[in-house]
Amino acid sequence: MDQPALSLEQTPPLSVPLIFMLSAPFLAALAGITAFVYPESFDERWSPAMLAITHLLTVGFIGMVIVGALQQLFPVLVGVRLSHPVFFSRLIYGGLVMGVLSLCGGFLMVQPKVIGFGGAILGLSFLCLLVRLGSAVFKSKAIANVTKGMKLALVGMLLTIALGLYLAAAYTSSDIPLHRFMTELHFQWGILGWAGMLIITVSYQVVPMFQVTPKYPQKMITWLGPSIFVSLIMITATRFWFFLSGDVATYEISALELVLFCGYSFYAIVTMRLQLQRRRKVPDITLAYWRFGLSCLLAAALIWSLVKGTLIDHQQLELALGVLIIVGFIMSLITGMLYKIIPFLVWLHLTNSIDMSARWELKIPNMKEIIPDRHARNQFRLHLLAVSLILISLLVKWLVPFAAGVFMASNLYLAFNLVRGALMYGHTLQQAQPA
Amino acid sequence: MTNLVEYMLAEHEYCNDLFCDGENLATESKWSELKSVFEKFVMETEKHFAKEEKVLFPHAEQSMGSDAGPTAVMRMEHEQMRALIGNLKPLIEKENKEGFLGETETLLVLMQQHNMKEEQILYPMIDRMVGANLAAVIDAMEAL
Ligand SMILES: [Fe+2]
Repeated sequence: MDQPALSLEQTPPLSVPLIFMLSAPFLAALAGITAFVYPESFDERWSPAMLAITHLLTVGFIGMVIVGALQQLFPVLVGVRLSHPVFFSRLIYGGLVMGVLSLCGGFLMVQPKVIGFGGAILGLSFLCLLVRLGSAVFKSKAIANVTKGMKLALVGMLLTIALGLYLAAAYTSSDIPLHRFMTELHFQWGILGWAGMLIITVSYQVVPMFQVTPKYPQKMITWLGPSIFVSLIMITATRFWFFLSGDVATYEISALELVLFCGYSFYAIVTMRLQLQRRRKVPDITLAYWRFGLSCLLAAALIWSLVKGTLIDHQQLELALGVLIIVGFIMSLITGMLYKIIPFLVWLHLTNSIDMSARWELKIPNMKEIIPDRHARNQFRLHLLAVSLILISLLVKWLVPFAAGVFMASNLYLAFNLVRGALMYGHTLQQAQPA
Repeated sequence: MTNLVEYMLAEHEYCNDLFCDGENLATESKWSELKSVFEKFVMETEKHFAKEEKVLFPHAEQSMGSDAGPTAVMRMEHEQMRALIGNLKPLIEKENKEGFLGETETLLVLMQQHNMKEEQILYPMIDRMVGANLAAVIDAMEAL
């Protein structure tokens, strides 16, 4: 009989996901500092400082959390164990941190060689992860809903890496031409084809389960991911086609992007509707973060149609689009999840290790004792303020350093909440086993 | 004929509903109503655990020839849930809202990730093992 690879007991050591998740807010804070030091970076979408900020947020925050979460959740979601979790997690962690810092440092100091080095290290680290996860997901016997979306997201990841590696090479060597349309594709695949696709796939599980709502409609689960994926493939093909034939493909691309944005808006609307029907009425910080994040996604779709529908000056609107999608939508949803994942993992590992030693009668702190609601709420308010200020500062230039400062503060507050929660692990263990 | 996964899923949903009702009553500080909902939740959860521990898991363990695998993890998580549920009772008595909601938040996440593993991986697997014996297995669970 074919035995599904079952690994329900495969919880990797606490440090495996935690090092990634705890580093994320610090790297986002670094993005805030960069914007503070280079406020003029907001003038131009593709300025080197803007590229540094973008990568600190996308790789440093979003990528870090996703990589940490995948290593934790993969065994559960797809039912396949990952071998040598500690060794690989340290290896990938080192690569990601070194890679993103070199890449961003290279942008800021305008050092092509450093950019190339950072890009190569990043690409290799992500590839290493991709091979591990890819081989697992294709072996998986878990139900198709999860694995199908995962497979699409992994292909999105592969294309993001490939485009990124090409761009890094083009920055480094003058023999390789740097094409703007490839930067656009790298961005779209990374945000909408990889991170966004993962978020949608994970939502199918996470929203009904942890927010206790009805399930997503099966038709949506079947069609939404593939539609988004196909439209991204077609956008890519069209861009390459028109590049090779030397034409400009404004309308064709817009039509395809419309499919993309309709798909994501549909996801936002359905999710918000499910959340309105939730059975659980307890105030929940994760839910607050999700509602805000999904509203930002809808606002982004609206702005996109404004940009395409009118011929007014696009620059600031396109920046607003990026801010709404990266900081407003994706970072909010991820932060909301962090406020569940970290306290739960701390609680779980405490329960497992104290059960084993079982020497003392000791109350294991519950999730809300590990991260108090009050602090999570205040941090959420600071995040709202940061996103609003960043958006306003796109029009009111002198506000940029101020917005950057608030964004930095919000991420340091998040770091404080998460690190303090994580430290509770060692603290409680010490109490359980006095020397 | 009933399908095993769906049969078990309905039980999870019923327990979830009772759990949420209890939490909602706690946010509104309706302690006397909460007491009866909570008792019902404990009873239904124990009934569900018993069906798994006494009928479903032994069945899987027999087919696999070992009781160390995934079912052992599920049994351990049942114990963890029992411990959390045990924490709740004195908190209701003391009408300690913050303490109660802190413990239920933890219980919810533990319970849901447990249910998820059962629904996605374990139940479909046991379903394949049980095969034609399905009716007998469900009868045995109903008889408890
Ligand atoms: Fe169970």
